[in-house]
Amino acid sequence: MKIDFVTPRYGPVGGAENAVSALASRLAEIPEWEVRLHATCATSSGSWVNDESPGESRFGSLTVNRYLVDSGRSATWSVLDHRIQSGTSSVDPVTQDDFFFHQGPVSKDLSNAVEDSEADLVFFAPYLFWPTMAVAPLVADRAIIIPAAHDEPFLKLSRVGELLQQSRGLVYGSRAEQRLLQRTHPVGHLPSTVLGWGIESPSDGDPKVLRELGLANRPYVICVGRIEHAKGTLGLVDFWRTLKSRSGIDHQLVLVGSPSIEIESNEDVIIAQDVDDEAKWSLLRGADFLINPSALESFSLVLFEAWAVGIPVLVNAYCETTRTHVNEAQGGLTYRNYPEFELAVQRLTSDEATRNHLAGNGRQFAEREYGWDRIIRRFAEFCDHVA
Amino acid sequence: MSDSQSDASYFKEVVAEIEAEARRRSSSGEYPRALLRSLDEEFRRWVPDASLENGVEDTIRAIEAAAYVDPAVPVSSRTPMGRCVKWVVRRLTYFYHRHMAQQITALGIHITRPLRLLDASLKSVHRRLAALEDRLDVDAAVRSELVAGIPTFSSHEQFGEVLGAHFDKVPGRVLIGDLLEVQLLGTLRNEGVDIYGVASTDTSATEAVDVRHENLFDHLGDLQNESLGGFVLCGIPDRGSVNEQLRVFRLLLSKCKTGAAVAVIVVHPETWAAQLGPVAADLLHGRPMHAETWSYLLAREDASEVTVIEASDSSYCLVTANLP
Repeated sequence: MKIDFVTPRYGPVGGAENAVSALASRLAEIPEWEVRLHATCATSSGSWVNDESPGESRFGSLTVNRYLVDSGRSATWSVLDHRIQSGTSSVDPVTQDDFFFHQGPVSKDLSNAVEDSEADLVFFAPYLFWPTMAVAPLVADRAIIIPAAHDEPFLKLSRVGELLQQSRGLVYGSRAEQRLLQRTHPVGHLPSTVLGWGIESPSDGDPKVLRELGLANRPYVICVGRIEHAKGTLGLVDFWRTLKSRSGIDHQLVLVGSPSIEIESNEDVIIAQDVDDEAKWSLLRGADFLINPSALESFSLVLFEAWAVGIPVLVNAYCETTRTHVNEAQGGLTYRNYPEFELAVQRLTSDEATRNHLAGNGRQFAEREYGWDRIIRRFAEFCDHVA
Repeated sequence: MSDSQSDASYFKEVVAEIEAEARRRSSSGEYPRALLRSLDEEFRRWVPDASLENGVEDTIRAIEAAAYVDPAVPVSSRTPMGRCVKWVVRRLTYFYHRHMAQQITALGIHITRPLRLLDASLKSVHRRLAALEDRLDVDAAVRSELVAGIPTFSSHEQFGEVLGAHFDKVPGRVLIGDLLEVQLLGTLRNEGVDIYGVASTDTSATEAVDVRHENLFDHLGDLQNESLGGFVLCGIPDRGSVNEQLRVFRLLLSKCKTGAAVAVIVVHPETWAAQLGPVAADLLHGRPMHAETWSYLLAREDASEVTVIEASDSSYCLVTANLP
């Protein structure tokens, strides 16, 4: 079986790209499979600047082809972005095309290579960027979309509906994502599978980072991911500062990720940016538990990373995906308002037995439902079915 | 009690404790109203509407919370002097702010009142509808208890080949639901049918490829009209109420393209009554419907080549037809 993956970036970058890269690497190890990943030379989704050299590289058994970005984000993008966020139903298809062009990363070389590819199936992820929106229709009869979508204005665009409807099939991270897509566009009858994502084994980490951040002897809780409004980070910081002012808990909140909003780093809240994978694992291991405040998740790999290092999680109950994971795993708690948040944090910070119990449940669930063997089997069966 | 059961009850206990204590603290006035409102504002800003399971009520509460205007302007400042000046200004202008705040709050109350009335009216309609459904049929829980004894028939061995030929050259994908027997899906795929399944979650189909784990009605509700090349209806004809059988049939027809092929697998009412006994036969009267009834319903839709094929032991049958 010849399989191609197309993602905007390759490497330890965005959640969906990371998950797809990990899957591609695992598949490439199967002797009968020929797996290739196409990406641009960019590493930053904010600018799409060419950071890497173009050309073919090998990462273990996986072949990665990188192509130069022709155009990245411009001033026009933010105007179009605002326009779409203000109301999708009034945005005409031409404006939508314009938006996806400026959303980037545009790469004619990537487009040509994918069109010339002899792969049986081409998987595009995530849906929101130019390589999926513009290139997938060129190979529609072989294109499988991995939307990695959550409930957001862009998903409702008519162009997205057209893309999904003309694709060969869809791969979802969770049942909640599948339900969302089927509610939003008439794609329920297309071949699809709920695959879920696997995580790489946690590394030993780099304990130096704990000393550098002054966390070596302080208890803390952790939040990993983009630091922005839509991910619920500001809401979490508000909750956390209120909690600290009302109760005597000694813990600090560590936000790991790149901030796109201004948050003051102080005694209560520490921001750790430019953290590599090793440091991230160390920070996760040292935390008492992980909080994911986002209501907009298509899978949330970070929950599984937390369970893998033996800590429980606390999630926003309004996110169907994370709430379902937590309830099925019984690997953490949920909150739907400040009082519940306060009580859940107090319970998790003060009760080590509960923490360990929930973490153990989470780890078992992750191994049982999202172990690599099971994911690879599901993926292979789906490929056989649609190819 | 097994380990997993004790785990589950421990988890439920912790969650219930937190929820109960959160409700108690909220109602006791432990949290200042303005504080909760400001915290809620950012927290709920990014919650998708579809996630609000108590949508109308939650939205009305949010409007009410936002409509309350606190006339006590904050006086905190980085310098004591600043705080003092702000406090004096607040004292001097309090009469004005209070007057304005009262009017705005009153406006908010007037806006939310009709919404509350609409919500109450909607809830009343739902209650009446539920009562009406109860009168038409036995309660869903009782029904599932009564039909629990119906075995799943191995229809793939009997009808796999016939269905393979029936769905040859259909104008689109074929849906099979409510899928109870995953082998039939596999058999039809081996026969070359481009088919996918819809199954409620607790079936043997959990791990099968291209199977949606959701309620068949929900799935059909999201599907575009004229998007299917055909369907195999099973499960619901043996287990659903008459209403459900007719509703799912109508929905499936609307989702089929011109020239679609259809099939219904149904247990004979006599077999069904013999297996389940008189209680189920009395309480679940009118179902499963006879093959003649399905043939009649299909004929009314101008379907052609309506055929009934009996299983070898005559316990169930397959009804096939082609839509115009």
